[in-house]
Amino acid sequence: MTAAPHAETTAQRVEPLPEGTRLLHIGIPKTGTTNLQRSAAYRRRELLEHGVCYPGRTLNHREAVSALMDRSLGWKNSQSTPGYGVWKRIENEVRTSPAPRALISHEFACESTDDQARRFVEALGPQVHVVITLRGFADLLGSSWQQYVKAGYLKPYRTWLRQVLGDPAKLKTTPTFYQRNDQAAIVDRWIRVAGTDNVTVVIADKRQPDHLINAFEDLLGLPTGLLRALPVGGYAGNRSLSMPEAELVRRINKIFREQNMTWDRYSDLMRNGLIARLQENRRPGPDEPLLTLPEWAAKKALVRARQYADAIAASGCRVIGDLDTLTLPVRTVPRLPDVTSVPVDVAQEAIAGLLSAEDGRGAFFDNPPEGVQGVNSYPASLRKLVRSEGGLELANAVRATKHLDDGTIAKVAAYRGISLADQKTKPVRRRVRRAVRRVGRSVRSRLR
Amino acid sequence: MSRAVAVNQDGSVPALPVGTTLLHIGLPKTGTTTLQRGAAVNRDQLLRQGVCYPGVAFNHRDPAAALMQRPLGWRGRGAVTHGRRVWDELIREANSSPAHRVFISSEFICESDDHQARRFRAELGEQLHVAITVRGFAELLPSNWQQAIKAGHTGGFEQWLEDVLRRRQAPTVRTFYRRNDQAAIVGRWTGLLGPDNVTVVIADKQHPDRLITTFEQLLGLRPGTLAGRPLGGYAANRGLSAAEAELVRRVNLTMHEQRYDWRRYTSLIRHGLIARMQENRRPRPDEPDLRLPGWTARDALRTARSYAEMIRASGCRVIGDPAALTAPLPTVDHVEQPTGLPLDAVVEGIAGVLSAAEGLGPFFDRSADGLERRKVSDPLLDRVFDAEETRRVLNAHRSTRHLRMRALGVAAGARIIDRAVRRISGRA
Repeated sequence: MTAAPHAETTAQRVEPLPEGTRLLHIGIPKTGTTNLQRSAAYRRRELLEHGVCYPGRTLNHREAVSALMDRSLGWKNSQSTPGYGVWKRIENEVRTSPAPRALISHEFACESTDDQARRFVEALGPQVHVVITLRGFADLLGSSWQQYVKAGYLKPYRTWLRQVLGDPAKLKTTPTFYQRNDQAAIVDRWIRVAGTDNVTVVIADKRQPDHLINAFEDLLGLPTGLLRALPVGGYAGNRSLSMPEAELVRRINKIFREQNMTWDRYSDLMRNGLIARLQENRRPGPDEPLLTLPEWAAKKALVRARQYADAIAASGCRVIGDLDTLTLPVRTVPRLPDVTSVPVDVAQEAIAGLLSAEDGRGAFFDNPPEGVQGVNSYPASLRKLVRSEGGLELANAVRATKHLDDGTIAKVAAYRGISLADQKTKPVRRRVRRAVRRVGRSVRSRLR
Repeated sequence: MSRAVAVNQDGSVPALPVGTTLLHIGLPKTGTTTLQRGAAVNRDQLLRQGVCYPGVAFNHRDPAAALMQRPLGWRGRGAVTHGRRVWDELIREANSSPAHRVFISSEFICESDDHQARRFRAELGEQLHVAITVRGFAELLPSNWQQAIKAGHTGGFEQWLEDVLRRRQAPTVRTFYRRNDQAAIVGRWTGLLGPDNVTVVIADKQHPDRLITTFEQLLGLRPGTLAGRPLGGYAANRGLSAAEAELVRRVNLTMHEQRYDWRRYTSLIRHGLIARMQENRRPRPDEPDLRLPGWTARDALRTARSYAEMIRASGCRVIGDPAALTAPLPTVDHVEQPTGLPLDAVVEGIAGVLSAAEGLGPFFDRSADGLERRKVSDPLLDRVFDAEETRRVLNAHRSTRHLRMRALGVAAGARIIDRAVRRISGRA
């Protein structure tokens, strides 16, 4: 492989990676990963026709990556780790695919330790090429916090900023934050494990959103535009929450925690219910505060961003895009406002999403959100049922009762059945009783 | 028939003759909940003092609705009409009770037409006395809109006021006047029973105890017998702030759009979202409440004056200050539609939905203020399970009863099959 020159200008076309390369895209989070993954998943067949295997059938390789890393998903009271087989299937598909190149993408991979990173390199073989997408550190703090909130996080924005921008070694909350966001350490680690020539950094730039997509198209030898962003709604695009939206979700998270509800339930009711509907059905109003940084935080964050940019420049790996983008000034507010009220439509959409999810109907009362038409949100076991006559109601019932344990649902069904039978036979039994009494009376009167 | 003493010299009201049934017919929003709850929690005490408050519920809505054959809920989407049996049980208890007096209370009764009113007279016999509690017509407009909102109405306050005051053909207007045309209601019952057998009690913010005291005196109870403990917001059915009402109205829009039925609405919204907001928060002092815009207040006070005049002319006994019915009230220039809602109201509301959807009532399996509207035991289940397990099954039952039997059966069946498959294939 040839060593690439540093800091190519944005207009420059990037040479495709050599045939046989497995491109491992490790994030980091909040750099446009969802859009890229969505395009790849939606155009999986076209990718294959152009010689790129995007293995599996899901949006991205979250489960497979977690499986290889042995990383658990969910909350402490209900976490699970996907089995190694999930990764193995992806790996086998890549190995046996006739396509000369492969793309594997999930941002959890950037959390890898040296040991975990080595597992990827060993599993994917010597022809692995690691792509790291980066965005300005200061620019992604707000969206990082709300992403944690969307996964159940409890601490307020202000508190979190203070802790995250303090001494990273002393960080007690969101321990994954620097695993995901210490850009220097991540780049350094993958260079160490995969070799300088096998690591490319791509800088995401809001002013040129196509830039990141084009870089992947070039690297994979795809025609320009094949991975272009699909029109997606706020849910599919994982739109960032506004400050009042995020604060509302955070407050509800507390209820979930207090009531010791599980991750599965949270994910069904909140992530794919209340939050999903907020993201999809509304757009924050023009006056609605977003998660911008207070001045003090921006100052600190930009210092750190500069350190990262310098370290990456010095690392010697190829950089596509302009490293200076990482240290551009960000929008700030003098002071974070206190959120004491939420727009009416936030409340309305939130509750509608929750109601819909409670009925097992997703966030949108059985309608698919924008950009995921055709992607069935039902698990494989229910898909056939959904398509059958009257099956939707049944499938929804299965989903709406998922949180009840086997014993309880059996008891409830039995109870319903018996009470129903009891009610239906009541008039009959009453008539029978009356008839028996009448017969008794007439027999007695005749005996008298 | 000589006229009964209206009021004693000390201002108290003489007790009704022994053997009387006192039928309290509302009107709604006149402090009925507090009175009924006072009677319900002190039911034993009442009986010891010779008053039967029949049944076990906190008022007699269901039996009254049964006699009236009045459906409860949204017509066509889950309304229930109770069978005659529900009323007969009440009568049986009242007739067999050793008590000197019987007290029956439901604000639904004031909706009776002549025909339905006659049914009450026929059922409750000769010694029937009707008490009608009233409040200023203008003053109770906001709470009436709110009550409609709590029952699923989706119209805005100002629109509703216009519809009501201009007597338009619009949803809830007819029901509203059936419940609030004080002149017609007082006229109907005095016409039916004679003015001597009807007492109008004027609820008055200046004298909040008057209602309770008057009923204690009418029933010959010792002072303080009907006093309940101070109620939480849910039990007292506290009024909503303008913002809270707007939240509920918006949720109602969703519920109607998605064709939810009445039963699911009451269990998730009335006894979930609204209940929890009422109980767990108190509107901040600076949170606007609902006020009438000027012109509607003028219109409403004109109506109030005509009602007051007709009540006076009806000849029935009036307890309290008639001037309270026509007192002016604070107004606003126009109704401001809230655009932002207090965060804590929304959070409590959502918590209420979450809890209710799990079948846990509004408070995650706790009862507020001793008010347990959920069924927590069942003869069938009690035979098989201990109390704890029965409670769990009933909670789960509540959270799934909106599913049709077939759907629930499939859900349970799918689970059993899934479990068997897992066991056979050896996957944990």
